[in-house]
Amino acid sequence: MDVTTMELRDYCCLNRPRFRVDPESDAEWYFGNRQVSEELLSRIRSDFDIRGIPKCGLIGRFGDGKTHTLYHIKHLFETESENYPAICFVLGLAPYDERIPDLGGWRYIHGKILDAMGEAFLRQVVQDFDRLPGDRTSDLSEEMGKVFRFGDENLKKSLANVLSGYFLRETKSTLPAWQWLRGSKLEKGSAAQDLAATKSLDNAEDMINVIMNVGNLVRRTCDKGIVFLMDEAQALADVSKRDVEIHHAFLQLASDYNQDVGMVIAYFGAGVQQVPKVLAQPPDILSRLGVTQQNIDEAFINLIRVINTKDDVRSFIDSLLAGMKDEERAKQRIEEAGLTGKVTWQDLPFTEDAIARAVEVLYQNEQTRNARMIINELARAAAAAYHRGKATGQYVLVDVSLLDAVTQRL
Amino acid sequence: MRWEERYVSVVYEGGHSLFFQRFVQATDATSLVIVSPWIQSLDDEALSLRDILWTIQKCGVPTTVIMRSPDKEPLNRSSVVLFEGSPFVTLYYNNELHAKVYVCRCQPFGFALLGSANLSGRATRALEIGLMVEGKGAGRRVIEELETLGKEDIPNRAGTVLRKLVPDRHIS
Repeated sequence: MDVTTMELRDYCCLNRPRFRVDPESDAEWYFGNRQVSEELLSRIRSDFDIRGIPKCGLIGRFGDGKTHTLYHIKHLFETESENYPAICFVLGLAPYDERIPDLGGWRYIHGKILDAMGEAFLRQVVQDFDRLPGDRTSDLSEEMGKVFRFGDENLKKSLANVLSGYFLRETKSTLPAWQWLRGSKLEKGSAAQDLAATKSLDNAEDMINVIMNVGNLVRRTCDKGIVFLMDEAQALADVSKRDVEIHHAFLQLASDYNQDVGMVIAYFGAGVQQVPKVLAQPPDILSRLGVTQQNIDEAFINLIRVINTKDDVRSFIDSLLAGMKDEERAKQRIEEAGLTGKVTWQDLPFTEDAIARAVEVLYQNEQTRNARMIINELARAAAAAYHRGKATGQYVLVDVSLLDAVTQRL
Repeated sequence: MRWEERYVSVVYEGGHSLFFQRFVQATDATSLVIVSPWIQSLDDEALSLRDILWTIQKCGVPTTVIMRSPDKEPLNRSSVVLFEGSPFVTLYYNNELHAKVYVCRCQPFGFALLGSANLSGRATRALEIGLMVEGKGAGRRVIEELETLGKEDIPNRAGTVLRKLVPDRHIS
């Protein structure tokens, strides 16, 4: 065992390239206070029962794990579809800036929703609909139009023509279809005529109706809803001139009539009262989510409580260190380095005392009592031991003194 | 093309100079990463290494520098002296280094230069090509990835030696 030629992942016997947790690839992990995740999942499950589809939110500070939580929800939806019958898409709402034409208004958010679904998904839905058993007497477009429940007849017919004409077979570019779906103005010409759209998407209501109609189609083809997991929703605090259309679009999503398209909105803040004004005022959206300003925390789960006590910090660190470790290699490393009795394979390269100190130091400040900061500080301490080990040619553990040196600035 | 899709552009001239001109004017810079095998003091350039370090010092920007050791590349000596005098610079050596990456995290979003130019005076005049990445849209992930490359991936490789930590990270 030559420490000087090791990389950090070998030194710490990691089962991954970095001393990091990735929200997407580690989506199955969810550490910390189980009560919070239970509250969130309980809300989601009850939304399936009461509203047909989840419509709720979560709030947290930077580093509390909002993005990770969204990917964890996506993971659960994918692996436990019997409990969570919906297809999820993650999208970020930031940046939002009405001073830049491309970055403001519902059209911008609508574009992000469409991008999150993507062409492959829309194509699959249309093809699955085409394969549905039954005595179909009319053409695909006509059948599809009957499934749609939102918007006027012109909108339903146009959407059905666009989806059936461009997404059933891969014979032509879908660019004109996407331009129409995004609400862009089409230049007059053969592409516009080929779309057979009798209506363009002129306003937010048309756009949200398109999304909810796609939800109807998904429900019809696979008996599932679709849920948009919207990250960085604090960007909606910058909504000003376009507040009427954006509020109205979210109101449509929150409406009881819509049971096929859901949303989980994650936003930055220290308390549930910081829900963006465009969602909270007037309170008709909250009302449709079954809450008022007084009990808003029933619909918007506060992640600050995920790591809230010393036990939560300890439990998070224990789960983290064990979860990112290659057990066999860690046991072998302990034996080779003569560290038996000084460190466990789960904790390597941290001594028990160092972990206890880390819990104390990280718990003392609210700013460091969150997932990102805990991972950062443990990674820095591990890297410090690694570099000292490389300099001395010895396996150096993270003990209390080394941990104190790394965390002294906190 | 939508605003957030325009996150990358080709830099044909000036090597690293465009990146550092933007850095010295950046708003609320929180992190700087410099990965370059050869780094010189740039004393004859419009923007010298002293100017860059002055901005680092003035704004308190935590900076990670990875370069080849001056024992292997004597031309790096002058810059090492300057880096060692800065309390905000963490310095690593890696003698296998050939990548040239510059990353700045700031408001409203960061930016990075990935290309052929070393942080040397010659690079501002030689035929160098680079890609300037803006941290908006899909570029945000690229910036995060390049920053992690400079702050964790290369430092935690076998061939990398820690030369100096910033004082608040000093390990006695």
